[in-house]
Parts: sequence; structure tokens; C-alpha cells
Amino acid sequence: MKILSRASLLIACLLAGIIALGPILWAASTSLKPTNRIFAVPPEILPQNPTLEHYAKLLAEGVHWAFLNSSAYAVVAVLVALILGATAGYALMRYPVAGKPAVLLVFMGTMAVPGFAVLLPTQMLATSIGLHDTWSILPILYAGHILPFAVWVSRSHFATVPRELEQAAEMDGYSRAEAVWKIVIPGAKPALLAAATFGFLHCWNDYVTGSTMVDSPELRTLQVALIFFQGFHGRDWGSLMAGVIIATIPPVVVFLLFRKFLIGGFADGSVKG
Amino acid sequence: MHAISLAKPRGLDVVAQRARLTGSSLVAPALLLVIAINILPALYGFYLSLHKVFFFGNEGFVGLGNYVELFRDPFAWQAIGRSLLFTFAALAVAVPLALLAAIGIRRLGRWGSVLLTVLLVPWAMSPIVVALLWKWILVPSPGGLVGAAFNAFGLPPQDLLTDPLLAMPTLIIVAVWRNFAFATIILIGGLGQIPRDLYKAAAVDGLGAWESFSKITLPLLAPSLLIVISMLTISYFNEVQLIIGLTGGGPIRQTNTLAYLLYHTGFVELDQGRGNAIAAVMFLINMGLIAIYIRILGKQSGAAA
Amino acid sequence: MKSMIFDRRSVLRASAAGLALAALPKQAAAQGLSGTVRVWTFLGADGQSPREVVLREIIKRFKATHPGVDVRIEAQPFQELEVKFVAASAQNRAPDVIWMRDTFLDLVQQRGALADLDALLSDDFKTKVLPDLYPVFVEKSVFNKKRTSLPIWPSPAQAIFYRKDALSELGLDAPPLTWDAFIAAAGKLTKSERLGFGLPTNDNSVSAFINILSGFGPSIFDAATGQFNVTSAEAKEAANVVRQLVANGALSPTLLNAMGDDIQDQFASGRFAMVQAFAPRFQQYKQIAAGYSGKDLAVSAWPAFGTRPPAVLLGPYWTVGISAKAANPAAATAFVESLFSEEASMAWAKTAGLVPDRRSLLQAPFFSTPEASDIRAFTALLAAPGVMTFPQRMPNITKVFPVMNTALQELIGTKESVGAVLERAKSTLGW
Repeated sequence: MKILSRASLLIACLLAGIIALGPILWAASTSLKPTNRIFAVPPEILPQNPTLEHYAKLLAEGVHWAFLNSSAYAVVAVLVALILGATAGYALMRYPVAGKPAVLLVFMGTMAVPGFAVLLPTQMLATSIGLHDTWSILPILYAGHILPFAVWVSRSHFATVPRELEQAAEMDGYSRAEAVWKIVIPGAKPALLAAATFGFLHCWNDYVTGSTMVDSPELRTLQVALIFFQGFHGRDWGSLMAGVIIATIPPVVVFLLFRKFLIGGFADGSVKG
Repeated sequence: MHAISLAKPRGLDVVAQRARLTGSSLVAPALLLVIAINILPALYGFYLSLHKVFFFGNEGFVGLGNYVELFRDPFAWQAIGRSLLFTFAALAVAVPLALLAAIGIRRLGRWGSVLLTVLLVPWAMSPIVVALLWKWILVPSPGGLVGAAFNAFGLPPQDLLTDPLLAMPTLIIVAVWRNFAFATIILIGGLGQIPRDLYKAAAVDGLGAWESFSKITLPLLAPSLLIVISMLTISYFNEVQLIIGLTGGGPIRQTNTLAYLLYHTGFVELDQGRGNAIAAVMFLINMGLIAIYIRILGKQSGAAA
Repeated sequence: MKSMIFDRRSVLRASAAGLALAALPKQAAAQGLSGTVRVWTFLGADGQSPREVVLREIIKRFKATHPGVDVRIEAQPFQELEVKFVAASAQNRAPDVIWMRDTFLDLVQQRGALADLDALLSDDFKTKVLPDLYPVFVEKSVFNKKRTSLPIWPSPAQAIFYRKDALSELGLDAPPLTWDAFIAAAGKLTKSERLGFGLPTNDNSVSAFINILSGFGPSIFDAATGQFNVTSAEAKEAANVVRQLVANGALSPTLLNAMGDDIQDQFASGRFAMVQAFAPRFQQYKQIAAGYSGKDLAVSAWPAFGTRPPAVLLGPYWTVGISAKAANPAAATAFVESLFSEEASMAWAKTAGLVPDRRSLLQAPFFSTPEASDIRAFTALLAAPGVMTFPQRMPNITKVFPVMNTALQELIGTKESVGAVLERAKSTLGW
């Protein structure tokens, strides 16, 4: 207990904070410098002649559309995964299910498939059913990616809500579905929101699926749109760093909003299954 | 439940069957989606791994040819070695760091939660963005951030990503930077479940800080530590985006892990049959890791019950 | 089999279009075209770079003369164009017009993904424009008498960029053009934190090793197989050049797996006196210069061995093709032709600093102004006696560059014998 005095603890924490945020602040600084000052020696820690030209460039090249696409894909995928995942998780907890061990194995085994590996087959299959390069393909795929986790989290957390509470609600005249909605879901709320946050980060941060499943510029995700600034002319660091900042804001906001649940939801070992 | 068991056998059958039907139909949508999106492509990938597929052209069935060639290739074995080195070295850095952070954050109270929030920001960033960001920070020039820091100590800028001795350690540090805070969350939860009375009793017994850490904290934190280690193992073993963005498998294959080899074979060399064979091997290794994970956690929850 | 069917169909369709064009007066034909032309390129529809600005101008002009045709630019990441195109073609969703690198031409045309342009291009274009393009690039696109694409923006791909201010320290105006002299100069140019020479050794589509080897002239490539002998005396000599550059401090043994982009960034910050660079990025290099003055940037051919002329290896460069499965081949052809009009060539040159595709334009007064001095430097390279192209067909083209780059890394970073390094590269390639 006395190994670390409070003062040295604070210094250590400050240092940790700098290491965590320093790179991002440097990106913010770079994104505000005119192109010919970006490689200046010695570096300008704060931009001497700050400019918004790189952000303007992102707008001019339509990156905001990609931003909206990514948001829409992620929100839809998370909602679908939560609804299907909670339903399946509840059923796996409370009902007998045909071939239950096999079902569990499918959900678990899926997590072992390296995401990169299934890109090519997925692309071929998506094309064969006409979903390649459409609005729906990415939300569907993302929902499929995060669904096993949502099932897992729901299943283990519904277990912590006593069946008796549900039955009491049913006695009061609620249907079973209503009882689940009023009693079970709120009881597992932190875990579900944690799973939602986790799922959102997966969708938002995906690059490879977005880059293989969609070719039309207007369907593109943000992470793919950013790669165009590391293009034929080399790296446009100003625009790339502006992109880094923009791409980092939504996950950080989501994470700040749900931080409490994230820590609560994972802390009690929901990932145990 | 009690009421059901009192019903007649025939009625029980009907009720049980109906419950089974309800249960199965509630699980079905999720199950079908997961099968369609994760299992079918994986099976198709396995099918392709038994063929010679180059640049989207299937040149015919070759049986286990792709696998035989793969295991005959000394560079593939080297890649497995690099994967293990990367995974376990990153674990060795991340887990103690996460534990230290978790203990510190709990002790800091309100400020601790601010610090945790700050530490979690890198985890919220995408790997591709992290790779870009670090490529920029590590530019070996006095005009780069890290280069300028070396300069301040009178040192020339270092080639942290292209020096054969430094590339792998640098990659590991970046990988840990990105996700060790996630481990911290789980460990904070684990620490929260250790009864405070135990520490008080230990203090009464005259146990020092180190002893109470090794005799109380570590053993009681074991379940959370196992979760953390298992999850990070799988995450590091499959890391590819950072490697593509930072080192491209070099210098001289130093960072050519199995995951990177999969990318390079399938997406650069366009030998898609062999790429799918590597994917199948990675799937088996991942399954192995998950099986170990389940076994350990199963045992532990058994012990807890 | 599949590809043959599509070839035949496209030829039929193409000849129908050709007949229609021949039958109608030209203006009427242009008016009659309709539909959408989908274009895959690395240039963005809303991009801000000079080339993108010019492309927009060209499209605007094209739409004015072809009011029924809509041109849709669907930009793709430039390293992924060929792969995405072949996948799309196999899955019947290919765009009409495709930008791709010459190194991939053979693989893509083998998949039957490209239409035969001879059946599509107008007679006017074939007689007036085609002969005006650079023959060395034009001919490389013809496989078994099938014209698969048209080269655009003629340029040596990998050139040596250097800083005049650095070379003037040695009393030089330009890098020496024989390897012996170059090595000596590069060593002397290394000074405190500046390196004499920088080589990218981690790209998937270029390798400095092949550029150095090209100092022995076109005979390094076997005419029949398209291979080069990885363990020949010439290859060993090329490897020794690398070793000597390391020994005299011109190349850094800790800069083993830099990509072209890395070299570009570090050059901007003043780390090198000379580098291997992607020639079309000349303007960009100037723009980001911070560790030296961009005005001091200049371009050179590669040194050669012995008394051979300085080497200029052409490729990878961009070419434009039309999909064998194009939904609208006539409109696509009209659009592709518009990329090579005199106005277009002039615009690429004036706005984007590119060598004009139409050689006859070089007589225009603009090209003797100081403004066009960079273009003149590149034109001179293209006319150099040591000019050669990459073989039309090289086996294992997707492996060659990464394998030779790893060999380069081993040459720079280890003490292993040159023979052993090259032997390993050869066996990895299976040549």
C-alpha cells in the first residue's frame, strides 16, 4: 500500500495520460498546419499559422458523407444485433432449445474465424445474392460480426435476473414478453449497453470489410474514405490527421456516454459466458 | 416449474415441446444470421483452400496441396514463430501494465475514473487510424514528434520501424498502447470483487504490501487475469492492420506474423487458395486458444459455484 | 471458356457499334450516344489535386458534346484497382472504363476482362491520335494483336530525385550516371544526419533492385520468358552496388523496410540528398518540401554499368482500358478517346505538370517556357537512349517485387553473402 506515495502515483498517472493522449494531440496539431509547415524542423508543437484547410478539403471531397454512412451502418448493425442477440440470449437462458450445445458452439466458434480470412468468400457469396455494393450489405455483415458477442453477453446477464421477478410480473397480469421488457432487459441494461458500445466500435473501426464489400463512393465508410489521402501522390498528412481526429470523435463520444455501463458491464465478468 | 412437473406425462410432453419450439424459434434468427455471415463464408473459404485459386481464377482441386506447400515453407514456420513472439511479448507488456493501471486507478478515486477515460481513448480508435497516427509520430526526422524528443536528448532520430532490432519492439508497444486499457477495465472489475476485509485482516496479521498483493490480490484476481490474458492473446495473434500500416512484415521478415502472411499471400501475391489455407490454420489455432480459454474459465466458474 | 465467350460477345457488340459509327456522320453519332459510363480510377470525382481538376474539366467538355451520356467517376484506392476490377469482372459488375498499371495488364487480360480497343476506337482516333502517343507505351498494351488498353501520362515510373543544393556541395549539377562515380558521390553526400541516398524497399509494385539491374540494358530480361536471371553475374554486380552504398554510408542499414511514401516524407524533412522516387510525384515532392527548398528538387535517370547509357526503366505506369463486359462500350470508347484529345493533353500538362500524351504538342510554345521546365526534364528522360520497358509478361508478377525487396533488405541489413541472398530470392520465386 505504501509502495507508491500519492504524489508519485499522480505523476505516474499524468505520464500515462500524456502517453495515451499525446499522439492524438499531435495529430490535432498537425491537422491545423499548412502543408509546407508539416515537416518543419524543429517541429511546431502548436501550429504557428493554424489553418482549417485540411478539414475544408475533407468536406470538399465528400468525407462527411462517408462519416454519415459509417454512423448509419453502425447504428443499424448494433440495433439488429442487440434485438436478435437479446432474443436469442434470453431463449438460451430460459427455454429448452433444439441442439443447444451445437448452437452454443456455433456462436462461440464464430469468434475464432479470423475476420480477414472470410473476406474473399463473403464477397463472392454477397455478389451471388446481389447484395454486394448495396446499402444493406455492411449493416448485415456487421450485425453478423457482433451478434455472437451480443448473444453471449445477454445470456450471461439475463441469468443474473431472478426468474421469480419475471413470474411476479406475470402474476400482475403482464404477458411474458412484457415481463421480459419491464424486468429482464432493465436488469441487464449495463451489460447490453456495454455490448452495444463494443459493437459500435467494431463497426465504426472496421476497414477491411468496408473496403471489399462496397465499391461505390457514395456507399463508402469513413475508414475507407480516409485511405484516399494516402494515395497516388503519397501521404497527405494534414488531411490524414484531420481524418484521424474526425474518425476518433464518434467512438470517443459513444464511449464517454456509456463509460459507466462499459466498466460496470465488463467489470463483473460478463465476458465469461 | 413446480406446477409443470405435477402435470400428466402426456401434457408435460406437449408443454415441453411447445417450450422447445418457442426457444428454438427465438434463437433461430440470430443463429441463421451468424451461420450465413460467419460460418458459410468460412466453409467456402475452406473449400477454396483445397483448390489452386490465383487472382480469382479457380485452377482446380489440389487436395491438401496448399497445406503441404505451406508447411514445407520455412518462412511459414518462421511466421508462426514471429506470431508467438509478438503475441506473448505484447501480453508480457500489456498485462502487468494493465494491472498496475487498475490498481492505481482504484486508489485514485474520482481522478482515477478520469484517468481511465483518458487511457481508453486509444482503444476507441481504429487500428488503421492508429497505424497512420504512429507512422506519423515515428517519422525518423528531427521534424517528427519522437525524432524531436530524441533530439532534445542530443540523439539523432531513430528508425524505430525500419531497424531490424527495433521494429518488432516498436510494433508491440503500439499494439499495447492501443488496447491495454481494455484489459484495465476488466481488472478493475476483478479488483472490485475482492473483499476489502481481507486486506484489513492481512494488515492486522502484519503482512506487507507485497505480501498482501501476492497472497490476496493475485490469487483472487486470477479469474479476471485469465479473461484478460485469453482475450488479449486472441486479439494480438490476429493483429494485422497495424503490421500492414507500420512495417509491412519487414525488416527482413521480422514482423511477418502468420496473420500478416495471410494478408500478403491472399491479397498481395493473390494466391488465394494458399491464403485460405493459412486462414484455416489460423482458425484452428484460434479454436485451440478459445478451447483453452473455455476450459480454464469453466474450471474457475466451477470452483466459484 | 468463360472468358472466350465474353470476348466474342464483346467483339460482336463492339463491331456493331463500330458499324453504327461508320454509317452515321460523326456529329450525329456523338449526339446519339446515351447511357452512363462508369469509370474506375484512383482520381476522385471531387478531388482537389491538379489531375482531378483536369479530369473534371474533361468530363465537363465531354458532356457538352455528348449530352446523352453521363460519366460516373467511382474512385478506388490506387493499389486496389486491378484486384477490384478483376473481382468485379468475374462477378459481372465491372465498370465500363478502368485505370490500371501496366504491370497487371497481362494478368487482367488473361482473365478476359478487357475489350479489344481496335474494334472499338474510331478510325479517326486510330489514324490521328494513336500514332501521336508514345509508341513504346502503346505497343506494350497489345497482346496477340489485341489492344487491351491505352497508356496515359507517359512518364518513367521510378526516377532519381535529388537536391541540387546538396549536390552542389560536391560541385555537381546532377548525380553521376555511372555506378562507380554515383557510389562515390553518394557516400560523400552523407553528412551528419543527412543520408546520401534513400531507397524504398517495401513496396509491392516496385523494387530498386530491378532499377539498378536495368543499368545493364534491356538484355537483362529474357525475351521468351520475361524473367531476369536472379543469380546472374549482372545481378550479383547490382547487389554489390547496394553493398558498396551501405559500406560507404550512403544507404542506412537501419532503414530497411521503408516504403516509397516513407522515403517521400523523410526526403521532405531533408533526410536525403538523393532518393529513388515515383516520378509522377515530382510536384507533390516540391509542395511538401520543408527541410530544404523545393526549388532545389531535380530529377535524374538511373546510373548505368560501364559505358552503357543511363537507364530509364518505364513502368509501372497507368493505362486506361474498357471492360469486356462494358454495358455501354460505344459511350465508354467516346469518353476514353476524349481523354487523349489535344485539349486534354494540354490541360494535363499545364495544370498537372504532366508530359502530354500527344507528342506533337511538344512543339507548342508553352513547352519552351520556364514554366514547363519540369516537363522538359521528363520528356528528355523518355527520349533517352537507355529507355526500356518492363517485359509485357513476367511470371509471378505479384511476387517479384516483394521478393526482390526482401532481398534488398537482406543486402542492406545483413552481412550474408550476395550469392546466398540472391539464391534465396530465386528459390522463393521458384524461377
